Amino acid sequence: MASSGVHVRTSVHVSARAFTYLVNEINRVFLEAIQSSDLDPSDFVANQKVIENGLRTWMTLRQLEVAYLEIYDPRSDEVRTRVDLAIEFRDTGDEHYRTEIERVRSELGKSGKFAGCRYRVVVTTTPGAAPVQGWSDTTLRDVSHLSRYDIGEVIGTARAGALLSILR
Amino acid sequence: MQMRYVLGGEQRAFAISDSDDLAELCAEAEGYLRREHPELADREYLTEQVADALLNSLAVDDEEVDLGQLA
Repeated sequence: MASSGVHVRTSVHVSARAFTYLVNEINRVFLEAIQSSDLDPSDFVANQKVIENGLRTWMTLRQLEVAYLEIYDPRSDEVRTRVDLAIEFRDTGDEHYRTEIERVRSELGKSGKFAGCRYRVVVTTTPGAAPVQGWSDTTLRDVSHLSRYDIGEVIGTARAGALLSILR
Repeated sequence: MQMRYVLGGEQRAFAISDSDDLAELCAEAEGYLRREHPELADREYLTEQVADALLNSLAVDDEEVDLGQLA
């Protein structure tokens, strides 16, 4: 019984650390994308707490499906590029934390600069996801004019990973 | 697992299971709070508060989860 209790506690602690790491790294990737696009990160930074609260809540509940950074031209409302991080939940035993930030930077660098554009963070969740302060329902803008590039997993932990796709 | 919180100026605690599923723990704790405290039954963002506390406490290997001030 004692060893079983230790195992359970360790496992849940690994999950908590993994989800915390993943949320921090999603924020890091989005910030990289904003900066590499020559956009002002101050809106992102000002809303970082709200963004983190949403991601943390939906990660904990395994309700987060995809986190998107949508960069659009406010004059035409057309999406210029979109960074997608699709969440894949898993249960591997080995505790690890990995972000392929150089690969992320290299791929983001191919998208170009978007001075004068605006951005927003959007997520898709499973049906019935918990409400989070500061978040509201929305619809993703049309991206049918863009091509999708699937890069693969760029953030990895024992309990979940994030797969990067870039639409440009 | 022990959960601590403050309600009406009073420090309180309750126990939840030793599940290794954070979503289950969150639902269990939230269910307890809504059942035990009618004033929390309709609180819209209680899930967010419980989930945040679970991650904050468990990510640093705490044995107890501190939910903080609930009202």
